[in-house]
Amino acid sequence: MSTQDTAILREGMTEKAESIWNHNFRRFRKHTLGKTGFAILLVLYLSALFADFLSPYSMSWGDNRKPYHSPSPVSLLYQGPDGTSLRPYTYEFRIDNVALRTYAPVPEHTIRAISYESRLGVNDMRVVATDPTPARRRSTIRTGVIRHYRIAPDSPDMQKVLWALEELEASPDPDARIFIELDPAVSTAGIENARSMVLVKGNKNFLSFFSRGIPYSFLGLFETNRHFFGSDTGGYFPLGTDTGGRDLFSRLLHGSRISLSVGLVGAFITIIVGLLVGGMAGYFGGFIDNILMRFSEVLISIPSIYLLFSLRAALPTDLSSTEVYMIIILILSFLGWPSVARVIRGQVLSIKNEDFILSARTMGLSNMKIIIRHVLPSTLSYAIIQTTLLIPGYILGESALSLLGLGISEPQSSWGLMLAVGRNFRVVNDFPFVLVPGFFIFLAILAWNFFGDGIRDALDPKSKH
Amino acid sequence: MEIVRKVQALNWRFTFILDGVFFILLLQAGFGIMVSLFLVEAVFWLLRLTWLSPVLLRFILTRLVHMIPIIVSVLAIGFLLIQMAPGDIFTKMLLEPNIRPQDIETFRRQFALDQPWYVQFFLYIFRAFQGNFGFSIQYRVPVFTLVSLRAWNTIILSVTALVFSWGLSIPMGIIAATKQYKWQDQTISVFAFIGLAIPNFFLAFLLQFLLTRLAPGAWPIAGMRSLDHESLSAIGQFFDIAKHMVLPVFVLGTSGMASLTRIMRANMLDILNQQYIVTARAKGLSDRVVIYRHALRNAINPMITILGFQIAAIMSGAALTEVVLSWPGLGNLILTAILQQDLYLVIGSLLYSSILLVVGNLIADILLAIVDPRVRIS
Repeated sequence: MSTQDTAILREGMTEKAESIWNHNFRRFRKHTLGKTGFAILLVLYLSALFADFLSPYSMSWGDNRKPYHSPSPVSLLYQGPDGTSLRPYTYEFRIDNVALRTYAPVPEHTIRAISYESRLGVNDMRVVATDPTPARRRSTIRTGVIRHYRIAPDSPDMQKVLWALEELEASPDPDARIFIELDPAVSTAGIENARSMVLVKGNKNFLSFFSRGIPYSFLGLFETNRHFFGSDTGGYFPLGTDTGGRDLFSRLLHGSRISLSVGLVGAFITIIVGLLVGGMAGYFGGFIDNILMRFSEVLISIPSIYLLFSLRAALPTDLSSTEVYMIIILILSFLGWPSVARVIRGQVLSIKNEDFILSARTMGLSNMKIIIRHVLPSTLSYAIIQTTLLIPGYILGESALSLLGLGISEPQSSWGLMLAVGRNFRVVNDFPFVLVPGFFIFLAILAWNFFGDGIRDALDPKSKH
Repeated sequence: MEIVRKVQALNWRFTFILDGVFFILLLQAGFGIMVSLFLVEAVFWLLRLTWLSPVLLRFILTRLVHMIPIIVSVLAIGFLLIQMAPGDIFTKMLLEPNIRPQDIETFRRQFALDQPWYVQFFLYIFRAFQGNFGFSIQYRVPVFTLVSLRAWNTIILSVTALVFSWGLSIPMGIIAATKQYKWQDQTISVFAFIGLAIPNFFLAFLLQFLLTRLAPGAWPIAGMRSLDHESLSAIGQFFDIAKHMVLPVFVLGTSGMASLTRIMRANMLDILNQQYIVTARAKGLSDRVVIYRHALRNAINPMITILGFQIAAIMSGAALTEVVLSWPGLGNLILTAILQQDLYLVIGSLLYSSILLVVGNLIADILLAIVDPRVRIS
């Protein structure tokens, strides 16, 4: 060996060895599909986290006079009195055939009053007053306002509204809008009054970023009514509405919180249970092994959907949404652990005769400590791979349960629940946009599969490239 | 006018193509394949059994004996779950004004619903040995009749879907492996990923939508029989059911196809890299002989192990597809039975479905034992 070679060798030896996780991370970064999946998942989960902010409406707000409103067509350029400008808008549509649920644009030069920031419960944002005669219009508005926004006819707020109306009528701009700040909310019998109001002339709903909408609590930090995008005056539905006139896009984002987290939490619980049971069965062997493995064998020999149905049926139906959510997670984990436990058991059986376990035992560690600290960490890479591969199945399981009416129920939202309307093929035929949540289930599962593949190729030294 | 005529011609051609596709699917879905599969399997099995080695016989017998405690435990779990559910089927009857509460008590006693679950459990097992699997309160027929009728529908659906997915995914896996990294392989991988990720029920909705939009009324989109099924001739009835089967078989088959294709591709690639394939090629054998005679046979072997898992997956998938496409199978039955709390029907369906699964696994194991001698001995 020449001196040069020794030098290189010595140099190589002084280098710090790459840690196993660095190595795995490097291998994952080479996996294009895995990275793509990870990117999609990041977008999906972040939008689930910021669902309140990103969605133009709330989860349950719906205008029940706009059932199955098709996705709003958006025009980017606005030809106003001062020439063309980049102001995206969408027309306000009104149902013109109740039986067929077809829509027509609201005629131009009608005045609409739309309020927000009111806290009256569900259907509190309403279009009022499209009557052409000024005298009738005023009275319609008054009753409308009284009914929906609880402004007393003799209150100064009512006077403000009427002035604004007159101003609006006088305005030459066909799309004029007037924003009215009302007096600070007075709470009467637990119902908060409207705090502000928009009066609109014309039939266009202008879209903007950071538009005003239904108030919500931003990640539980502060109260705000700013949404990422939308129209101050409502009437904009990016993906259409459902049978209750609720915005599908908002429900999709809110539903993703449940649909996406069920998989994550469920897989986590499954892995923990599978690790513990498999670890104990493999480590102790004998009687414990026998009992646990026979039990898992029984669970495996029932087709999972049948067991899923039966388990759900065994639990009461009149539960709060949080309880239903927990129960779905528990049921899915209950179905999933046996297969994980069996594989872990096999791995533990081969690990437990290794020298490092023997040395741990000679040092007097308790059995549980050996299992948790020494045996199970050796199976960690399998556990991580398995978690990512379990999640798509759990997302599917939740959707299936909710689809069949055994899972999440109204007014909560989940992708499966939103797809439940697809079972009525007449609705699907007339309003195909109701199937959009299915594409998101597809996308989420696809992304998890890609990501899982990437993780497996990175963590499993035996896997091929 | 020209445009109209072109569109019409296009439309005509489209429906023609659609018919062609359906016809191929119909052939796939035809009972012929299924029945012949069953017959071949049965004959094959019997033939084997006659000159079975005692080792294989012992293997089968031990597996059968192992099945008994599993089935009994499934029953116990079923009883426990139903007992946990609040109320029973008669709870709803209490609200009906024309039924006296005393009568409901009598009903409960007749169906032994006033006993604790373990008493019901042993009573059930005792009666089951006499061939009495209880009575469906909701349908008012013996459970055994109802469940075996519905189970047959599920078997038809699952087996046809299995044939469909295996019949397509094995050639696809071979193509993907032999044309590795070429466009054929890429296309198949894309389809496999889509098939893997698309939920059964969503695919069913999409296909229903496309069918109602593109060819309204041309093809049944749900159910198992037409309204005039009874008035058809035997052949007509057969084709009626086969027609109805196309959609669920397609939906169910594609879900399993994705993973099968990928596994088959991986197996085939493994084998193609072996030394003896190189030897075969070096001998100057043609590609066809190398692939189909030398590689394929060895690549198929591990697939039989997959068959066991596939049966479980397809049973679960079938249940969901049945419900969504209103195919009158076991999955549909157990769902309504659970919603109605029809105790014996739930137990019956649970039992039957797990027997189907265990027997399916047993067949897969026997096939494996026949093909691979190492399994028999260990």
